[in-house]
Amino acid sequence: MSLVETKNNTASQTNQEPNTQEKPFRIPPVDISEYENEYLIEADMPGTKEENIDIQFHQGELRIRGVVNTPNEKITKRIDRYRQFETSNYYRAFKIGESVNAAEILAHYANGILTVHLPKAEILKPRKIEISQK
Amino acid sequence: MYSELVYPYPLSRELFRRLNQFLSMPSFNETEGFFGSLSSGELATNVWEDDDAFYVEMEVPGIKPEEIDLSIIGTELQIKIARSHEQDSKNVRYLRRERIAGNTVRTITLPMDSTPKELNATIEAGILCVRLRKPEEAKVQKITVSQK
Repeated sequence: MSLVETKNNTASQTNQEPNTQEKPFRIPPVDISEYENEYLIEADMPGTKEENIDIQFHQGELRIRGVVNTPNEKITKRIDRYRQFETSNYYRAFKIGESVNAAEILAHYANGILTVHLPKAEILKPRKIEISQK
Repeated sequence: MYSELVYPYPLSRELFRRLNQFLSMPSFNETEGFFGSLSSGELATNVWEDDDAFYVEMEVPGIKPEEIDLSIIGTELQIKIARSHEQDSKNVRYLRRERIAGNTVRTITLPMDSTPKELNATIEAGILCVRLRKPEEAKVQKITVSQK
C-alpha cells in the first residue's frame, strides 16, 4: 500500500516563482500519465522553440522553463483588437522525489507540445517473482 | 409561462450563448480582464491588425494542419478543429489531465464590413496564424493636405 501512496505524491506541484527578477510567467497545462515503466508529462507550450526550453532535475524536483520570443510585438503599427493569450515565458515545477531514474529522463518538443519521459526507478517497476520448485 | 419556470435551462443556455457571442466579438479594444477571460475548453485567440491585414492567432498545440477547417462566412471567420482520437492505452493511469481535448469550433467576427480579400494560414510551434488581407475600403486612407 505504501507504494500507491508514493505514486500519488509524485505529481505534487511546487510552482515557486523561478526568480523575482524575471518577467511574469505562464503555467503550461499538463497531462501526467503513468505507464508500467515510466511517467509521462505532456505540456502545452506553444510559441517556444526546442533551443529555448530548459529542463532541470534537481533534488527530486523537475523544473520546466520555456522562453517565448515575440517578433510580432515589434511591429509598431500593430493594433490589438482582442487578446486572450500572452507571450510571456513558461515555467512549471513538479516534486517527483526519488521515484524516477534521473539519469535516463528524456524530453522532446514538437508542434508546441513538450513531452518528458521519466523512467521509473527500478524499485517501483513491477517484478515478476518466479516460484521455484524444490 | 409556467413551463419556462420549470425548465429554465434552455433560456439560460440561450442567454449564455448570446453573452459568449457578445464577449467573443473581437471589435473590443479591451485587451485584459473580464472581456479577455477564457472559458474552459476554449482555445486562446489573439486578434490584431496593421495597415494591410487582420491577424488571428490561436494556440493549437499538437494540432496538425489537416485537422483544421477554416471558413469565411460573410465577415465571420470560423475555425473548426477536429482532433484525431488517440487510442488510449490500457496500461495507462492518468494522474493529471489539464490539456484541452476533443473538437472545438470558434467563430470570430472580424471588425470589418465586407468579406476579406485573401486568406492565408500557417502553423508554427503550435500557433495557428491566419492573415486576412483587408479589402481596399477597410484600409486607412491617407489624405494629403495641399497648401493654397
